Amino acid sequence: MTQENRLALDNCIKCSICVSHCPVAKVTERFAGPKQNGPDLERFRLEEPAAVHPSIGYCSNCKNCDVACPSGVSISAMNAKAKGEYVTLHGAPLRDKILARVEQMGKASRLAPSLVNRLGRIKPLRVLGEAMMGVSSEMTMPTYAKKTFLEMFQPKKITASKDKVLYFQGCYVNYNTPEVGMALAAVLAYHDIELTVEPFNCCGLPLIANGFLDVAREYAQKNVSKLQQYIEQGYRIITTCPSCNLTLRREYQELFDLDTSQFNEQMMDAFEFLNLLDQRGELKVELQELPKRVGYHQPCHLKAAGCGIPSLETLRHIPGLEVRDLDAGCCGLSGSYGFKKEKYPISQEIGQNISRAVQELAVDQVISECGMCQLQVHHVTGAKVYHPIQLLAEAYHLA
Amino acid sequence: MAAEKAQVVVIGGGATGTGILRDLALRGISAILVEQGDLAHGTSSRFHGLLHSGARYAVKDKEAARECLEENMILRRIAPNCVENTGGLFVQLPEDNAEYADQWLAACAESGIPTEELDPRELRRNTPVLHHRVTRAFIVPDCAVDGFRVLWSNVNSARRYGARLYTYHSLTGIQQSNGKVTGVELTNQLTGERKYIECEMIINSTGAWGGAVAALAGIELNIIKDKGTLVAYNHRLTNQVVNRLRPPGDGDIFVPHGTITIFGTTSVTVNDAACTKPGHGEVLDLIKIGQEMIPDLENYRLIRAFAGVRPLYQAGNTAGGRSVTRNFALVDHQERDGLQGFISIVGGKFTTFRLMAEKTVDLAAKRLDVTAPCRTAEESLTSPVSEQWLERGKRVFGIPGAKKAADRLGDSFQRVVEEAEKNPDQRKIFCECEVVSLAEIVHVAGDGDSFTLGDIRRKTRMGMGTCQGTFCSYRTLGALSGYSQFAGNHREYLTKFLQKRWKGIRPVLWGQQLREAQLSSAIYCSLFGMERML
Ligand SMILES: Cc1cc2nc3c(=O)[nH]c(=O)nc-3n(C[C@H](O)[C@H](O)[C@H](O)COP(=O)(O)OP(=O)(O)OC[C@H]3O[C@@H](n4cnc5c(N)ncnc54)[C@H](O)[C@@H]3O)c2cc1C
Ligand code: SF4
Ligand code: SF4
Repeated sequence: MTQENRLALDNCIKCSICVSHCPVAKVTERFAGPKQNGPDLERFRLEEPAAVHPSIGYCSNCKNCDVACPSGVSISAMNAKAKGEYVTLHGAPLRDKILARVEQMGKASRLAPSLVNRLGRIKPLRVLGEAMMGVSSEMTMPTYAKKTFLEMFQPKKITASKDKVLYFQGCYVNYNTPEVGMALAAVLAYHDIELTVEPFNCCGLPLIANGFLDVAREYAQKNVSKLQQYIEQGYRIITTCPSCNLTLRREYQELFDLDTSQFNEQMMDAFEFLNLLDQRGELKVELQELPKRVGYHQPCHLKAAGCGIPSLETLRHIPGLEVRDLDAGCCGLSGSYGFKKEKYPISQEIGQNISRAVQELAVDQVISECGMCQLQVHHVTGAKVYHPIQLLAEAYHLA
Repeated sequence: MAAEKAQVVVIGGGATGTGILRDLALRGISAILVEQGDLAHGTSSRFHGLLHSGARYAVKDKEAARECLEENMILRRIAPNCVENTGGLFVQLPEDNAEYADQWLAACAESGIPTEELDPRELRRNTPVLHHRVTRAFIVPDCAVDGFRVLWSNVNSARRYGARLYTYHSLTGIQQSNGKVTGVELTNQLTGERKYIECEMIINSTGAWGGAVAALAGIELNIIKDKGTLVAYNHRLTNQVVNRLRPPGDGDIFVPHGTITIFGTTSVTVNDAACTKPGHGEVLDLIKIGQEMIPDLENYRLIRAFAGVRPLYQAGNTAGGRSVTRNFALVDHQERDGLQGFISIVGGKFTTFRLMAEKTVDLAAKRLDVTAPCRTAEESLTSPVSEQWLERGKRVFGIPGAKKAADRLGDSFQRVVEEAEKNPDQRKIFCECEVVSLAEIVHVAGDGDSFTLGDIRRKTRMGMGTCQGTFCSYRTLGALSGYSQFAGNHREYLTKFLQKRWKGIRPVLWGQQLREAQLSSAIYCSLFGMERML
């Protein structure tokens, strides 16, 4: 245990604020909650690493506990490590092994994406999947795109590029919503900024959330060494997925003790970058009027990153656009979590806040940065859900 | 009403007294143990919890060292669930006398204490909190021992052979006629009622109170009362006992105990055996010394401080403190003072309690014409919980909860698990810091020996963790209103319980523990209508 972790452990004053902010603990008795699984049992784990509560699998890794804790305890990191310990000791179901390997699933789907999509919609097959594998037959499956982002993206040489920007696109954009990456590329090109891409490994978050820390660590090491090279050449790294962002910037350091201090400054959300341009007076603000009302859902991992909601800053420039914050907390899906049979009801219960908010605000379109949040918000409300960068591209006539 | 009778009444429910009770019972001598508070009210719960390997005494007192080693091995064997076999380290720093290490090594070898030198680089890897300047390190067979558990195991074992126990009864009079002890007068500390027991013999094993008890028989017994302060850290700093390799002094031992680390101690002569108030100044002094071994010590969170009083026997009347022998003395008052049927056992260490009991009962048996030999070293004190029950326990309490409950409950574990299996509500964890379930609390509340929340705390560890009772005390009370001893004024029970907790928190009120105390006083002042806390 590192010195920092010891001190963080000592910081807990048992106030239970984390418990009252944990979306899972709010809706189920099956989860012993962030405090018990985290700082409480961490004291026991110093003597006996196996001291993990069996309910640890119910932690969705949403990180609301970290945000709420007034004492700066890295609760979710303790939980993630405990989950890893639990999986090492007790193993994990095949289902989790598959769901965690988002990168491999994406690659496999390349053989015939539309077939995979069709299979995902055949109810009897899904029922079978639930019975045999424990994958909920109710949850909407993400659809795989015909072409990946890396296949679609045509690098464009911009001679007087104002910035050197590398895009960490993440698995979901690459395999499922390449249009998000394409919108970003168009927006940047419109500002004469050259975008560089790389075939990265999955950031590792789905592996971490399922307790496969060893594989995640390998990915992390590979990604870090690649990113390091770009940083040394003066690149900024931008993301459109808040979870990739948080994993690279914080989890690598907290869970794997990797030194990521160098890229903490240089890595940012795409909208943080656009806002930087705005501050320098370089953002083009002649935008098309978009007279519509959309809801906005803030992903938990964006909240945890502590950078506010940079997209709303930028979107303010779009005339006529009315963005209403749903302010409904966690969507409940948390990546692979809500696909698991036993967790699906929990994730739907948490998602109720979203459907209530969408109804109250009477919006039929919602924007959100996280691909999985987009899926869940659509699943619980039926609304059209997409990434804010797509809205911006639309207002630039680039869509 | 006919008075109750026993051959022997043992006074003092510490390690020594409970050990004596068990030894008497195993030899078939009818016996009653009398304790003024709960078991371990005295020094036996206010100590370091180190089951000495003897290494600490090797240079100065080989006899004591050999006794420790022997008893250490016996206790591991007969009471595995009371002993945590951590192993111990002796570490030397550059400013310590290098020759002492060689002297110490030779002395250990002479006393038969196994030592193994450890490469300081390896030490740094395994125990990174220790100072990197450590020059030499040795492994010895030290362990951590749970005093409270040992005491109850002694009593439970003795009860199986017919022995009786009165807690919350104070010895207030000794009856004698014709130079012979005939009985004792006891006063119930909770009700004030008097009680008389006829007996042939009284064994005075009241530790630091030994002089006061002897005085009831009109006898003078000189015991030096040496207060030592200890502090408890919020987490395990090391997984082994760590001793400083230099002549024994203040602040030179760290003992990991379950979730916490106990560090100490100091040595101050006091007048009163009940003087167990730890001082802020003593705590600061301790930290300062401890930092030589663990440089980050002041940054780790202390959850409380406490103090105990060493009973040091002195035949004559000279020097006090650490230089007095740690060996015990058996005083036969028949020989010394002409009072038949009165024996005092004084001094010693927790580690050697069984041996002290054996010697005492050897004498008692001789006087009572009993020839049965001592069996306390052979017969197991507790039987370990079986794997099968541990598995069942894990299913209801989880891994840490079940393991700890099994250690605490020993033979009763099975019953508690069954209760929790039948009744899922009882699986709820009431003390989250120490992972104590409602089932365990309810079981202890109904065991016939629990009269206060403090008694439940000592048996379960509820209230002993990070929050020091802030959350579990009112939860526990809420669940126990069906028990007559908890059906009265709740505010009073809470106040008594929390005052004891706060006594230990006050000397360490800074940093996170201060925030904890703020939270606690906010809860009790605003929600429970208490006026002030500190
Ligand atoms: C700070 C400190 C650290 C220590 N660390 C260690 C260690 O690490 N390892 C070790 O082996 N030893 C250690 N010791 C020594 C050890 O704790 C004691 O030697 C041992 O606990 C004494 O046990 P006892 O039963 O003789 O006395 P006690 O435990 O004090 O028992 C005496 C009992 O008699 C009761 N009593 C008194 N008067 C009456 C009365 N009139 N009627 C009824 N009951 C009465 C008291 O309430 C008390 O419970 C330490 C001591 C101190 C002070
Ligand atoms: S990460 Fe989310 S689900 Fe897990 S304990 Fe924290 S708040 Fe609860
Ligand atoms: S982890 Fe933080 S929020 Fe949770 S109980 Fe501890 S101090 Fe409170």
